[in-house]
Amino acid sequence: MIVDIDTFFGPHPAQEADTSLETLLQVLAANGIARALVYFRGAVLFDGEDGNRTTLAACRAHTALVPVAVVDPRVWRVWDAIPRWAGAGCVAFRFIPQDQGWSLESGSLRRALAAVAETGRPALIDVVGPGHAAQAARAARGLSLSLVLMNLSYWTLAEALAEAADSPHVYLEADRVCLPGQLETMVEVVGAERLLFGSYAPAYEPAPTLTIVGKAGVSDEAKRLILGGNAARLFRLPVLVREDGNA
Amino acid sequence: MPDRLIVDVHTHNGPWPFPGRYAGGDISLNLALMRQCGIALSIVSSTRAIVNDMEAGNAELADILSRHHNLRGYVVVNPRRLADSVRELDKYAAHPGYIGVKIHPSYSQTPIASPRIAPLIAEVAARGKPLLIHTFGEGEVQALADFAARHPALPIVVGHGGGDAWRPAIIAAQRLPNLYLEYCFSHPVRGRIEESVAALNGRQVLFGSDMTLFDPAYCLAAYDAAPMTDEQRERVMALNAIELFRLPLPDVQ
Repeated sequence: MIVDIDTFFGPHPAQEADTSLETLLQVLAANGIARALVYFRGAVLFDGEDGNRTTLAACRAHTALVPVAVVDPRVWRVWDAIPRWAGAGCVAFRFIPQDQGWSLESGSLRRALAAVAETGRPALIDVVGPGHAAQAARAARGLSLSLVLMNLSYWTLAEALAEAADSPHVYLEADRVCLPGQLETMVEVVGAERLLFGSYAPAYEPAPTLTIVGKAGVSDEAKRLILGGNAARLFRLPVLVREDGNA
Repeated sequence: MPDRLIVDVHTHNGPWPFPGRYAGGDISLNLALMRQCGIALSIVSSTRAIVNDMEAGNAELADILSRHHNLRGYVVVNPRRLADSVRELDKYAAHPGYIGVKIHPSYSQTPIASPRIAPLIAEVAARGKPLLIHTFGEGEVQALADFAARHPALPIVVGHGGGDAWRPAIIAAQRLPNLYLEYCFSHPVRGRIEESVAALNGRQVLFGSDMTLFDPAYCLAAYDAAPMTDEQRERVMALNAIELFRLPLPDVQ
C-alpha cells in the first residue's frame, strides 16, 4: 500500500495549476497511491478553523484521504485548538512557515508543538531554507514528539540528514528524491524506518520519486517501509482491504 | 538498438556538494547514468566552468568530449567576462564535440535583462551554435524572448522551461520558433510538459535532465508521465534535438 504523506487541495493566488480535490483524487489513483495525508490549502492561506473543517469533510467523503490539521502560529493561542482537531480525527499537525511568514524560532511554534506532543500525534514541519531543519529540531527538543521534516530541498538535505541522525524522533519526508544515490544515502544515514514518501500532489507529479524509490539500491523491505509501512505505523492508519481481500 | 532514442540536452560533468553519490565528478558517472536510463547521447557543460573557472572547465570538458562518441558539449561563457568569453567561443569553434553554448545567469549573478548579457548573446548569435540558458521566472523569460526576437536565427534553449514561469515560456515559444523548452527540475510540476507539447505540437520541446546533479531517471519519469502521442514523444525525446543540434543519426545509435 502506497501512502503519500504530502498532499493538499485548493487554490493558491500565485499558482495556475489545477489543484482541485477532484484532480488530487485522479492523480492519486493514476499513481497507485492508496492513502494520502491531506490538508485544504485554505487552512494555510486564509482561515485555519474553517480550512481544517473543509479537510475533515473531504476525508469523510473519500476514504483514500486522511486528515491533517494545519496549525498557524500567527494565531494567538492556536495551541488551544489542537486537542480539538486531534479529537476530530486529524492524524497529524502540519506547519508551513514559508507560506505564512512566521519564524521557526518563535515561542508560538514551541507552544504549539508542546500541545501537539500532548495528543501523541506527529508534527509535520516544512524546512525549506538553510538552518530550518536545525531550528525545527530545536523547537521540538525535550518534547515526546515525532517530528517529520517536510519539503526537503537537495540544497539543504545534508542539514536535515544531520538532525535525523542525531535524534530518533526526527523523520524525513522522501520527496523530490532527485540526486543520484540520494535514497541510498538517506537509508544509510537515517534508516528506512524513518523515511516517508510524499509528493506534494496535485501540484507535483508523484511519478518521479516513485520511480526512484522503485529502482533504488535498497532492500524491498526498505522500499515497502518508505512507500507506506512507516506512514501506516506512525499515523496509525487503518489497513485498507482491497476487493481481493488482501491488505 | 534501444527501444527508443533519447537525447539529453541539459547535462553537466563535475562534482556537486550535495548528499548524492557523485563518483568524485568523474565522467564515468555520466556514462553510467546514461546507460541505466537508455540515453543515447547527452550534451554536457562543465560544472567547474559554471561555478568556478570558465577556462579550466571548458578545457577539461574538451578533452573528455574527444574521448567519448556519445557526448557533445556546450562551451560555457560568462557575461561578466565578455572578451574572455569570446576567446573561449573562438578557441572551441572548430572542436567537433562542442556544438552549443551555455550561459548560467544565476552563478554569474547576471540577470538575463542585464546590459552585460546583450553583447554576449550577439557574439553567440554571430557564431550560429544553439544557446542553452538557465532561465527562472517571468522577468527572465520575457528578457530572453526579447533576445530571441532580436536574433531569430539563434536557437535558444530555455533551461528548466522558465521555472515557475513555465506558462509564459510556452506562450513565448508559440510566437518565437527559435525558442526551445526543456524541463529538468527538482520540482516536478504536473502538467507543464503535456501543456507545452500540446501547445507546440511536440516541436520546440526537448528532453533535459540536469544530470549529474540529478539522476536522469527522475526527470525521465516526469516526461514519461506526460500524455502525448507516440510521434510527439519521439520528437521530444530525441528528434527535435537531433535536428536542432544537427546530430548525425549514426552517432546516436
